[in-house]
Amino acid sequence: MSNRPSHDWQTFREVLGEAPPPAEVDRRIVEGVLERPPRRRVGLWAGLAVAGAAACLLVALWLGGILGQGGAGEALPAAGTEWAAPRSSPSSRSIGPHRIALAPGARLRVVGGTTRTPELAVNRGKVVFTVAPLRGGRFAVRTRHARVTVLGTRFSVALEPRCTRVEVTRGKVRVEPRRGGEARMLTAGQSRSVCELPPNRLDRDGRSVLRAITLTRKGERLEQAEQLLAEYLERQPEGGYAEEALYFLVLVKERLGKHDEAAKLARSFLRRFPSTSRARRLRRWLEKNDR
Amino acid sequence: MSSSLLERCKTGDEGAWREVVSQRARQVYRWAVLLGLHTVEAEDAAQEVLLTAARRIDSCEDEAAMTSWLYQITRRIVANHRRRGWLRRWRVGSQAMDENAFVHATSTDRVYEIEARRCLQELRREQAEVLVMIEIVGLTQEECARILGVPAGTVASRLRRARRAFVKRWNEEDAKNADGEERSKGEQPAEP
Repeated sequence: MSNRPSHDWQTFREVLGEAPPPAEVDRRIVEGVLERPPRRRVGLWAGLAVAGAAACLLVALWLGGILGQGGAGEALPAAGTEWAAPRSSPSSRSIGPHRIALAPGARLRVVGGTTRTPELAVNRGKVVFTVAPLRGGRFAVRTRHARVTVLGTRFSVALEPRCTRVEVTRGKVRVEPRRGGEARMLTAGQSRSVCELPPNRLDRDGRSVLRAITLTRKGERLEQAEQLLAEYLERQPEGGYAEEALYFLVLVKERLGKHDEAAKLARSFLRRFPSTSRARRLRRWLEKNDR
Repeated sequence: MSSSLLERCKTGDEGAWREVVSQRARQVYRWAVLLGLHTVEAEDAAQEVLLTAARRIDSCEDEAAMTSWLYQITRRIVANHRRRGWLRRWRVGSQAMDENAFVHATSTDRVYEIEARRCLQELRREQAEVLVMIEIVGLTQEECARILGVPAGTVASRLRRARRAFVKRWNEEDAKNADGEERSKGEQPAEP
C-alpha cells in the first residue's frame, strides 16, 4: 500500500475513536433497540430457586417411587382376591404403577407379593400387563402351565384350554413351564406357548392345525387345509397356534391363486408377529412380489 | 449524557431513552468492532448491549461512570458473541475483515483505520483490549484495572507491551510494502 499513512497515537485515537459507522448501520441499531422492549431477565437467584425446587420435586418423586408401596393405582388387595372382566366388555385395573387390562371374560387372581412386585395368576382368558420399571423384586404372573416373571415391560398372558400363550410387546420376560422344562427369555415381538400336553398328544385344535400344515406342505387338498386353518383362526383368533395357522393360511391362499387375500393376511401377520422369522420371510415375499 | 437524562431514563422516560440510544449506538458498535467482532455480529452485539443497558439502567450511578459501565456490558456481550460464534466460524471459516465498518472523511483515514484494525487483531487479546480501553474508550488505568480485575501495574505493563507490539507490526507492514514496491519495480516486464 504505497499511500499508507504513518502511525502515531494521536491519529490512532482520532481515526479509530471517532469514525462513525455507515448511516444505515447506525439506523438499524437504533431502530432495532427501540423496537424491542427490554426483557426482564430472570435473576440468578430466582433461576437457582426454580432449579432447586425442580430438583427437590424430582428427588421426592424418586423417593416416593422407592419407598412408597405404589404409584397412582390402588394397593394390592389381599391374596385370593379375584378380578373378572364381564363377558361382553374388557376391564382394566391399576396396581400401584402397573396397568392391567383384562380381555372380555378373563379372570385374574391375586396370589401374593406387594403392590410394586405382585404375584398374580391368570385363571381364564387373556390379560395384558404393562409393568412399570422395578428396582428390585419381580412382577410375576402364573397360570397352571407357566410362570412369567418380568422386570418392567408390556406383555400379555392368554390362558387357553390346554396352553398358555405369552406375547411380549416391550421389554423382556422370562417364561418358565411349571411342569419342568427350560425357561426362556422372550423379548419384544416374541411369543411362546406353554402347553400341558406333550407334542405327540396335541389337543383337537393342535391336531387340526397340524393336519392343515401337513396338507399345505405336501400341496394336497389345499381347500381342506384352508378351511381347517380359517376355522381355527375364527374359533381361537388369539389361540396358541395362531401364528402357525395364520402363516400357513397365507401360503395356502397363495397356492390357491388368491393373491390379494394372501397379501392381506400376510400384512395382518406382520402386524401381529412383527419380529418372528416367519415375518421376515413374509416381508421379503411381499417386497419381491411388490404387494 | 447529562445526569438529568440518566435520571429521566431511570424513571422510564421513553424520549430520554431514545436520546441515549441515538448517542451511544455508534460508540458501542465501534467498541464491538475493535474488540474483534465482524460488522454483522457487532451490529447485533450493539443492540444487545443497549437492551441490557436499558434493563440495568438503575445500576448506573452517574454520568462519569456511564462510559465504563457501558463498556463493561459491551465487553461481556462481545465475549458471549465470540463464544457463540465458534460453530459459525468452524462451518464457514473466519470471515475476512470488513473494510466498510466505518465512514471516513478522507481516504488516508480509511487506509489508516483498516491497517490499524489489522494490527490490533494480530495482537494478543488482553493487549488489544487494554489498548482499546485506554486509547479509544478513554478509560483511566485505574478504571481499566477495576474492569479487568487486575492490579493497575499489570494494566500499565500490558499497555506498554501492547503499544510496542502494535508499532512493531505497523513498521513490519511498512517494510513489507516498501519491499513489495521495490520488487514490483524490478520485476516489471520489458516492453516489446
